[in-house]
Amino acid sequence: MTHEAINNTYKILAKTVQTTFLDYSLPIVVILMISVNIYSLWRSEVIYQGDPSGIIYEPIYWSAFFAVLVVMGYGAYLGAKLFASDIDSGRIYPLMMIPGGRRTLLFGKISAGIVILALLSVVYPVHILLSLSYWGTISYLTIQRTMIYSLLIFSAGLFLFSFTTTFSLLSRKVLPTILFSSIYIISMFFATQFIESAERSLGTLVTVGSFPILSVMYHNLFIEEFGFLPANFMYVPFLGTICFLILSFFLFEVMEI
Amino acid sequence: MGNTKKGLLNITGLEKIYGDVTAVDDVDFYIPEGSVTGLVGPNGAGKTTMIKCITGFLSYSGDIEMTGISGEEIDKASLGYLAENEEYYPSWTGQGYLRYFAELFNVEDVKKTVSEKLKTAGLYERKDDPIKEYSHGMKKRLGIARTLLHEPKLLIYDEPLSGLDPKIKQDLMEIIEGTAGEGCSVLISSHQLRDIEDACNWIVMIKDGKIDSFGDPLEISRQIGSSKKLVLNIESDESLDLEEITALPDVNKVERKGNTLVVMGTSGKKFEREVFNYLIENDVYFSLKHGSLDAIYQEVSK
Repeated sequence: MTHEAINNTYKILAKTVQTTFLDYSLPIVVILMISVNIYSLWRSEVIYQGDPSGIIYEPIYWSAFFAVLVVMGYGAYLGAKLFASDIDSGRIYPLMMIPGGRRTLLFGKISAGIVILALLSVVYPVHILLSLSYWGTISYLTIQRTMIYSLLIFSAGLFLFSFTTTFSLLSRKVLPTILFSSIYIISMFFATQFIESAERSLGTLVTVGSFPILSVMYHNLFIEEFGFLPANFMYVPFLGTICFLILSFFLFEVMEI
Repeated sequence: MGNTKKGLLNITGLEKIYGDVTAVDDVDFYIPEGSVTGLVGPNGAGKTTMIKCITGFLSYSGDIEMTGISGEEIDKASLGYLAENEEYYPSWTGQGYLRYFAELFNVEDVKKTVSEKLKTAGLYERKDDPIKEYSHGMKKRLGIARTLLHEPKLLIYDEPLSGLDPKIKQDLMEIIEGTAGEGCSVLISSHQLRDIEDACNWIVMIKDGKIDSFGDPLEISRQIGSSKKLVLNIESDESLDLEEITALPDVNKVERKGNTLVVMGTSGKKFEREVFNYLIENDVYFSLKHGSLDAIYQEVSK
């Protein structure tokens, strides 16, 4: 990439991040995530007892579960907004003619998506730990677990972002992209009921491959002490993200609009 | 049609096929430097496909060459393109939108350039308004202003006048006409020749994915050769014997409305030559009216 292309990548990244503030989508998602998390923490009787050790994992788990759903939804929104929406409306045409061309535009938009989702995943541990410190002391294990969930939230958002980006480039239409991503998120939500039987009949690999975020959460839930093994599942959504991003790169390079 | 002449943009053997449909079929033409070229043809003739091949949004076979550079090597930043149904970011202001693109194109004095282009497009007074409050015509003007920011060599406007009322069409054409000249050519597509012909000094007529004719308006009349309608502007006020003209070989019907003389004839250059000879012999000063090109276009696009 030339100096000019790197410059333009940064400009697209900055403008895209700025736009998510201007259209209020990012502040709305942050408020939604914080509200849901505070509510799930507040509901726990453990918090009232002021004992953050041991059993505290359960409310943190549920807060992370809802945060994952919110960030997954926002990842899908970003993928559809940055690609399907721009292609569908013709806004992509002038952007594809800038110095650096298609590749610069793709890198700029992908980087913007990653930065926005990273911001969201940083918000999670900060507000969770602040909330917990208000109610009681925080153990090292709580911090560790919160950080792992933060990583999970990031990987969940990235997975849906890259998944929706790929589908955006295939369909080039907003409505089918939103429908497809929504169906995926909703089916993941319902699949929580069937993951045990799914793993028995399909095997762990297939289930983890189909619903990587759900599988990570499922395995975390049933491990009494947080260990390294469940964290291995985290590679699946990251691996999926990388695959979808590579596919998006090739689709964008040859895309005819 | 051989492509012997060379211009700013030279297209040779351009072909675009979608499955079984040939959208652009072995097209050869060129656009002279500094010209305002009208790409005209009925809906579905292949205008947008051809434009998207030039801008690199579609793959194609054949050769597109601009200033000695061919195909994908053409610097896209030397083109300014406004798509037919292009939308804008509704919450951005007109000025913010132009500033963003000026920065992306590394324009030197962003503030000054953006102000200049806003004035050219007649949007300076509304520069701080969000784009969602702009009318359809204002959005088109904003798009044109965007294409001018980086001073491209070739401006390409795809159906910029569609859905606009006549007054706004005229205003927009004046802006477009004003942009051509020193080092900048314009390619403008339309399915209505009458909308753009006054501004165009080069016409490319396309039908069913093939070039029907191209050249300056007068040359097109000659190329077609089968024009059945001549529209002449009689510059003197003298009376003409319409019956004598009607009696000329291959002339079928003659009408006069004020200074406009409309002569209908059978195809062939003989009809045209006979009418011209008659008028010259009778010392009648006349000029070929631009409007007659539209009649030719109507014939071609049938």
